[in-house]
Amino acid sequence: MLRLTNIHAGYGYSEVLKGIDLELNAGEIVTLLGANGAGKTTTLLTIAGVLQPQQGKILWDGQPLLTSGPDEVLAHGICLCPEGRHIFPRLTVLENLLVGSYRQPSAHNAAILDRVYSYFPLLAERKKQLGGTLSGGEQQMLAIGRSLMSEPKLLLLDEPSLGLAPQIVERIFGIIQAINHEGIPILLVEQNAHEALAIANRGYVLVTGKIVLSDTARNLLASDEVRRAYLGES
Amino acid sequence: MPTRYRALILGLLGLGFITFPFLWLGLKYNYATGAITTVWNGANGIKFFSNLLIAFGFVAILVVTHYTNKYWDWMRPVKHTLHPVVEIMEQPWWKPVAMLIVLSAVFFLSDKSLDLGVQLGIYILLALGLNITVGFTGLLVLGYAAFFSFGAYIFAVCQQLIPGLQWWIAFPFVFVIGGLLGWLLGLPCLRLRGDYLAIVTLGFAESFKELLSNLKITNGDKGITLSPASMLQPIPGLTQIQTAYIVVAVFLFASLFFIRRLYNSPIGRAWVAIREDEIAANSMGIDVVKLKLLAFALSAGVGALSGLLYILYASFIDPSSAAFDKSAMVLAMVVLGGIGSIYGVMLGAALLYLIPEFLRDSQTIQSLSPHFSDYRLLIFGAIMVAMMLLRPQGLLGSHRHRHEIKRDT
Repeated sequence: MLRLTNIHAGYGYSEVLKGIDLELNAGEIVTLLGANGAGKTTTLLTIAGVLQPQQGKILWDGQPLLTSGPDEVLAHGICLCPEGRHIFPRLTVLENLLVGSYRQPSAHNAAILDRVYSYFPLLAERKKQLGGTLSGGEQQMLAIGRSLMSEPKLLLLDEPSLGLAPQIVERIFGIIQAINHEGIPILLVEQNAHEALAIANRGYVLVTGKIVLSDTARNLLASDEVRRAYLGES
Repeated sequence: MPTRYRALILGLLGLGFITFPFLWLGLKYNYATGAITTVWNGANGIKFFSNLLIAFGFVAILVVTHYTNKYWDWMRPVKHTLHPVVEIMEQPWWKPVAMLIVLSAVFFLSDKSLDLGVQLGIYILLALGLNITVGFTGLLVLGYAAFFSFGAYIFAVCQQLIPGLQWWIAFPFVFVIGGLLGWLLGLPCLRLRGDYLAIVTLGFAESFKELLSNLKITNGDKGITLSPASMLQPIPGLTQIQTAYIVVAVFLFASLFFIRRLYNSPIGRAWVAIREDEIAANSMGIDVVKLKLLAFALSAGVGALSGLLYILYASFIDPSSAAFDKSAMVLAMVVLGGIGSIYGVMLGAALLYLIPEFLRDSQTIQSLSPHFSDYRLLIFGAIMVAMMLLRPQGLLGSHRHRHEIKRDT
């Protein structure tokens, strides 16, 4: 469905990604693992159109993805849920969600809202509350819900576990899995390798802008290298 | 000590600190003779104290009402104090009734009040237009008066080139061309935000003003007077000023309707989303460039429209209409009333325009203290300072704004 070939990208003159090859098939959860600064977020930003690749090709449904910004990438059905949640603190929960469906005809709103509320019943309870008054976990739920409002064909999740309590992380990962079961493929960037591999089908390991390992999640969990480097086991 | 008392005491101290030295000096400049006298002597001393008492009386009344009202919560909007009024305003019949009252007032008000009404209407329209960029989209535009005089000058110049041009033919063109100018100004500003954007727009307005006072076609500093054929033709049975009042009121209602609809539409939400978090807004599929330009264009269009209304009413325009004090005044209206809130902005415009007028003209105050009008701008400034200390979110802050300000204090 999504295929990256030899992607080079970075910020200004500094090249972060040095030739990434990556593939994502329909219905999969694929996770990107790696240390800080390995280029996980940069990969997502490049797919989402925030960064332009300096070299290489992104194929989406077999067509090259030529865009000038995230709003056009979203028109292709690829939605980025950015790192650090980035919800709108002074909009209510409902308004936050409605911003997410900006590109959808407003007649769809009610139906999509119902679907998002079925994943996150808590958001329905708090729909009149200001986004900034939610707790960290609730804000993450709001951010994911907001991304779902655009009815994406591919969801890019950047560090959904950032700064959250382990219990909440588990809940959110459960919901991510449920979303995936409805048929939305997910590209997941995570520091929390254990949780990410537990729900993913496949995984890639990035080291300083290059993919050094790619395998099924089960094999990665079992691999000594990954265990040592990312799971904190010796 | 609870923060609120500390804030109150600090506020009062600041107020006294700012106003007292001026009152103490109490210098009076005689424009005819050039002599400077001080009110701080003999018979003038009594007048001086009466001035002082009135000034602080105002503040005292404000403070007392602030603390005795049981609905009043420190950081809550005035809505809670005005509870009964808000309830009326939520009724379905409120809008048509209000429109009817405003329109029918044309038959009851004196010419002087109608004059105030027309000018106030133009200011409210300006404030509503600026609110689109400053309030909704979060783009700080400091040179808004340029669009105002641009609208007025388009019509003034065109009626010289096309004799007998009628305003109602011109008005869609004024709106569109004004919007176009806003769009053009928006293009180089897209990469800027905050202070930098303010500086660019400020520079634009200043150079626009210089342009107006140096071009031949705008008749330089002398300004342009409308030819009688292009002036506002009175509706049969009404006087000139009554007609102007009705025209301004109708334009105001129409723009209120459209701005309200826009604010509650996906476009309005997208504007607020851009103000809150541009990256997230862009990730949610909002074309930031297009929507920022749209905000600039609409805001400039509304500004140009109020310029047109102004020149129809005053029949005269000169470059000083693009001066900075006007831009600052309109911005103050938006901020004081409550950034981003439509009713708040209207209230802010009404207060900022009417308070100085009231302080200048009120017979009661004049008879109490003949020198009072000399201090009106001073008191006006003191009220502004007090407002910013006591209610930084504006009188009727929009709920979308209140939260962050509350968290910061």
